[in-house]
Amino acid sequence: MTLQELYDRIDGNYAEAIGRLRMEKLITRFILRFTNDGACVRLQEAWAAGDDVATFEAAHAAKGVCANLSLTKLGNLASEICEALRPGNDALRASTDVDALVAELGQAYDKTVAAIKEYEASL
Amino acid sequence: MAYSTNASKNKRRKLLVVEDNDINREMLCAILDGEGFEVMEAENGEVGLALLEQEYEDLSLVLLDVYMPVCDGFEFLERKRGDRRFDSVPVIVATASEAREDEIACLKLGANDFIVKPYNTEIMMNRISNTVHLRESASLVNQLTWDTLTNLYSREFFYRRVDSVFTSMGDDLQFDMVCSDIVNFKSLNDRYGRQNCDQLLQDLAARLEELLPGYVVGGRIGADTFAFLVTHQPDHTWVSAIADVSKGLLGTSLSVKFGVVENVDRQLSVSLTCDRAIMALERIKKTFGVDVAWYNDKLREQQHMENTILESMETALDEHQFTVYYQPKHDLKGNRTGGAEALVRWIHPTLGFVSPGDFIPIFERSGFITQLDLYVCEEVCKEIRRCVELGLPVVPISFNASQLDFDDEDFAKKIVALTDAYGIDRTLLHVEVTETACSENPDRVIALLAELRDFGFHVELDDFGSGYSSLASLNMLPLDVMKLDMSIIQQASQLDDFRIVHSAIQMAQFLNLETVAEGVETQDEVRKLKELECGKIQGYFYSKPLMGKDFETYLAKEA
Repeated sequence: MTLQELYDRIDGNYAEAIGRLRMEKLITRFILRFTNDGACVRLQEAWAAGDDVATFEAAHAAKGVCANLSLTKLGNLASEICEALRPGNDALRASTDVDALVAELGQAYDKTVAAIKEYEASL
Repeated sequence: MAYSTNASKNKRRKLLVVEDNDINREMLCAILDGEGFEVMEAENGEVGLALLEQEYEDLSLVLLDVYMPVCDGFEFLERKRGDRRFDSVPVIVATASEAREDEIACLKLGANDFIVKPYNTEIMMNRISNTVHLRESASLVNQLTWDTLTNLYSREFFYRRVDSVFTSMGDDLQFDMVCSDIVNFKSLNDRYGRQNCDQLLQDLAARLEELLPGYVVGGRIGADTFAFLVTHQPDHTWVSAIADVSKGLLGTSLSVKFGVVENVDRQLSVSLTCDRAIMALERIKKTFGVDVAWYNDKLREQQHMENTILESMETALDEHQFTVYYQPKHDLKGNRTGGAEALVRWIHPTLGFVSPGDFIPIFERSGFITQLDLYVCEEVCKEIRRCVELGLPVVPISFNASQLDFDDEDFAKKIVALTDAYGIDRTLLHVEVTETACSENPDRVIALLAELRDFGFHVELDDFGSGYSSLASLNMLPLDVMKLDMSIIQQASQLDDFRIVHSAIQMAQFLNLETVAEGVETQDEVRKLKELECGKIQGYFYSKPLMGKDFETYLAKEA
């Protein structure tokens, strides 16, 4: 699997990632590390535990790292959760189905991790 | 890509990345590293502050994440702002958040700029580059304009500011220049450490800015020298206002001296005006209890004179402008000349006769006195040699050694070399020292005098009874002769009471020292001193100081 194919599979933006890091080697180095980044897992656990603050913090962290790696879909989901839970955004929170978003993020995360592992195996 | 061309330009610029997420942080570091920066990493604000503390002088920028579990970006900015040392290090906040509230909060806390995650490398590099450039330009301007320690103007800018004050103010307004200086600042630095002394300078500058009436502008023009332009204060009331300015500073008693130029002449350069104020304060630096001195024309003349002397002293020595005179010492018992003292005179080509009282202190301050002393010593050796060759009565001749001669470990050997060169019996050369010459480092002086005596030279203690004579020095110093100062002879003569002189002579006899009374001018004094069994007499009664030839004629009469 090529890096571009990986990005296509996980709804990421390869062009943006290469624009930022300039070398596939660097993108590979960091994308492989993503499987150990705990932000998305923490987000799901915190939400399951009913901890809004911890969910917000984990969503914020996940949004940042996904954005930098151009993991667009995952990053957008984390961002939506983050904004819905941001202190003071009560109206947005009321109109957002956070449960559904967290579930969707969980699926997207699992898919992303699986694809990255597959990519790693192909190296 | 366009931004990668900055790699060489950014080399050696140091950045600090504070970000808790490993991937984000390392990614940022990889990008910055590729741009030629030296990057330091901190995984939270606490570690970031510790690195800032260590590296702030070399850091060009901090890239700061906002949300971190330990010491977040807000706390980092707040704590950084609390320490003025870190003011020169700019911060760009990097966050995934587009929340306006965060941006405003960070800006209020002193953040310089923002970058939003995900990083657009080109935008990020340009923002970093602009901020670093701005910081470096501002720092350069600040460095040139302000003294960062005291917040006074730096020297050059102080001079410029004073000039612009003069230009903007009407000619009828008069100003005074007040310069301050801390006595023995270097030794305070040594004793209390640089940090404490920096605090001292800060506190002193702040107090003076507050206390000096009519304060217009202040500058730090030397390590511990401040200059203040104030509106003219005719009644000098400010002297009492600043009397206690140094009280409590550094937890010790220290002395701050002030030199003042009143009604500053705007035609003169500001630096010259400051020099004059400093010149005034230099005169009182060693005077206890006097803290303020005003510059005046007499001081300027003295300074010109001093400069002329300093500029011409070496030529004077080369051109033999110094002439050695010999004042005979009359031996009362034998009723004949028993010795002489060599006294130096300077006939300057333009100044004419320069009094030793004028040039000796200057030579002592400049260190040139040691060369002059050796010159005189050699002239004395030549004179003794001439007396021997002319078949005249040969008497010991003394020359004056100054305190600085005792700093020269080879002083005794140099004297030996001179006497040997002229084939002089060493007992014919006497070295006169004063008690003050022994005050600085008595052990060293005692050792050197002992060495001189071991070589065969005689040592005379000059000016005994003037100022604060110490009996201890009579006991400690290896001496052959005690010279009674002319002041106690003259006082005894005026009061017709020679008891002190008598005691001094008896004490000298008891210590096995020969006595020479100086400044003897009358027959009565001679008679009295003879009664008191004084050994020798020096003074105008017998002879004024004589030029070499006249001294030889004087001796010839006794032959």
